[in-house]
Amino acid sequence: MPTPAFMHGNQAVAEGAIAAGCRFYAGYPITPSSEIAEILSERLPQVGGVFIQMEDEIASMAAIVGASLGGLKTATATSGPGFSLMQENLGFAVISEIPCVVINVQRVGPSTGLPTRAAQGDVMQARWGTHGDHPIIVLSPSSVQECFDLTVRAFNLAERFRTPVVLLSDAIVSALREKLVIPDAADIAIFNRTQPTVAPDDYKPYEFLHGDVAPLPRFGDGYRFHVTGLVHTELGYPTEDAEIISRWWEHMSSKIEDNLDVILDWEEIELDDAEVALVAYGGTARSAMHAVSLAREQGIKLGMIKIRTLWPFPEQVIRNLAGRVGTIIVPELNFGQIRLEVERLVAGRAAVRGINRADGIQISPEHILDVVRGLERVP
Amino acid sequence: MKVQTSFIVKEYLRPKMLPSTWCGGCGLGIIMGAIAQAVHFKGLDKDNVAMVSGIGCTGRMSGYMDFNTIHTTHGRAPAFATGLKMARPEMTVLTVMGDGDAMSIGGNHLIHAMRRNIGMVAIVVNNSVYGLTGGQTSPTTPIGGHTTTAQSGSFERPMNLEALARTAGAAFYARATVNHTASLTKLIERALDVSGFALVEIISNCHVLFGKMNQMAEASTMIAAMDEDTWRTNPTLLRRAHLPIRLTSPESPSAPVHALTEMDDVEDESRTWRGVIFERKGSVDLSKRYYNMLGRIREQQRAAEEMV
Amino acid sequence: MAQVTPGIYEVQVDKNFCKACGLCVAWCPQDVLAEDDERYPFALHLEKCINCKLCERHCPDFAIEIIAPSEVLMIEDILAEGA
Repeated sequence: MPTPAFMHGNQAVAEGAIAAGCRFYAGYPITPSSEIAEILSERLPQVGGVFIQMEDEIASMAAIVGASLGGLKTATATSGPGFSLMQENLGFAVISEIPCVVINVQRVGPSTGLPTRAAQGDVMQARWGTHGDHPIIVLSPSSVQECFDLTVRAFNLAERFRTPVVLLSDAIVSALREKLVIPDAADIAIFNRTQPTVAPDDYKPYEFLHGDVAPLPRFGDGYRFHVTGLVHTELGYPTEDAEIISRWWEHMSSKIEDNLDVILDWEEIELDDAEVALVAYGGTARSAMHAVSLAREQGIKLGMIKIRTLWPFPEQVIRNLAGRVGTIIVPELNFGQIRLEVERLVAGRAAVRGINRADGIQISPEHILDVVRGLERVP
Repeated sequence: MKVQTSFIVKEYLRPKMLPSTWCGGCGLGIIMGAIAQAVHFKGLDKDNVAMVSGIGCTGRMSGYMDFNTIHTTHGRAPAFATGLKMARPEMTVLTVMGDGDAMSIGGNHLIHAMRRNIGMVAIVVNNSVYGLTGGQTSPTTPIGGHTTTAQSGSFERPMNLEALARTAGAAFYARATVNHTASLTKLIERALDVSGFALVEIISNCHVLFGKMNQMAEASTMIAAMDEDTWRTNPTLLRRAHLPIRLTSPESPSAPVHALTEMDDVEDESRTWRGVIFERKGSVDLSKRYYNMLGRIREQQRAAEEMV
Repeated sequence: MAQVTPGIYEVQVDKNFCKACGLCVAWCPQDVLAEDDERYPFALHLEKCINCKLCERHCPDFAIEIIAPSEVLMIEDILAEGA
């Protein structure tokens, strides 16, 4: 029987991790993510897993990559300042194609900012935070249920595409308590990294497959491969050969770009007859959804798209939206990180407006509705 | 039948990756050979050995050795290795770092790996200089040593890794040089026997950069100096050094570590000893303690289930 | 101590690996080795070699090897086991 439960977002993330098969967590305390570590420090030993509190976020990120090579599903959780420290080894996980999950519960501002208040200022850090071009997958939950579901999905995508996956939570959903339903373990789809079937001598740990990844055995299974942060050949040895490097880049981008049908995740709400559409994600999507129902009560044709996979960005979805509505409004707790992306894709075919603040106060449904009404007055 | 040393060593290398990118005469190759022999003489299965290295000339070693290997980011090797060891406690983990790697950018990770007493053999190759980036000052450059970022001689006090390891809680500390190859191998073998964090500091040569700037441009000159500048530990007197090595400057001031070590029996306080410097008895590896705890939790769970 | 018979050993240098650093020549206690014009080592006085392996142990590139007759290896084997 699926179990109804009542918990806060961070707890749902922790339970989602356990359900997904996460058996290793390394982290460093930081508000507003610390509950994830606290809960996992109790839950992981109960299921035979490892919890370790590291000396900083750099080490936390390093430890989950090391443990992932040991064959475990691994995760760490942090907030913006810690996420910045993780970027170095996040890049290592990208280039060495090691599955792991990084949870970032966003708070306000650069540096210490407003540690206890919600923002969505790390959208671009999640996409481009580490140095050099790189593919990445970023998911964003907007409810406690999604905290659970998307955490499971984050592990599955990490294992499937041998990549770090960022779960971009925020201080709205992390501290929010509401009902969720935890499915039976048998009903939760779990993906485990594939294992090589070839002999160790024939195994290529980084085979440059188009749109796919090589199997990944654990250390100690007899394959004795080399893992490096240097650009490498299919065997993992460093190379400076431009031809090999371009094939490597092609592999790295195609493993994400060719699987958008699996990776992308969004939801259309009241969009059929909509004249104005909201594009929202994370905690702000809650206000947006409420604004849609308030607007409908008042006869205003407002719809929305809720984005759950932020990166890769659902580009075609937004391009299509531009042909369906006259105005797109992007409410977010930053100064337009996703709005810029929407403007780029709409390319002038619809008006794009942002509702932006990052002062620790959420964008209310009424605020969104006021902006929508303001649009109506302008023909 | 007894086999040739080099034959043993080659069993543990990746031929496709060799010859190494290291300069001719670099002590790193000697160290790699010593590690291979130590692993061989301990009878360890290559599949069950992991080598985790950082960045720099030393970082390249993991690519050449036929173990499960990770060439990580600068300074972070102990943190990657901690994750791996906690996930696979049955594995032998060798963490290989240079002096800048271990003591400067990775100092925090090294301290906490020692504090946790996580089971690994940490090999710190100390050549007093940043080699790969072109001969800049490192945390162990001796006072007066010339580097590309200390053109008129370094004026900072070098790091005392030994005192750091002792206070941070390492289980074992040995110092070797690439000159004394037999004891180098033996000390790594001793470290492999330790349950917990075993550190082997290996004094190596960068004659191409550091040596050239300090009147020791030949590998042989620089390695020979290690014999003159280090003393073998006297097993009856547990003596210890203040400074990692002073290849260039005999006037190096002693580090003020009297509060941390018992110095009464040391005649020359600036000597650099080689051999086993200290070993903490009864040390137990963190990963072993953790999995023992998991076992106890499982027993409690079973007992609780039976009660129901 | 085992009896050492100089002159029964061979020196093998793998030039694909050798970087001509001069360490083996500097370390040879018997002056067996010398450098050629390109600084590669060669055995100038092979008859003096006592199979101490200091060259092997100090070669950072595993490029030099002392080849001993098999009967000598067997003696070493026995000695190693006895030790």
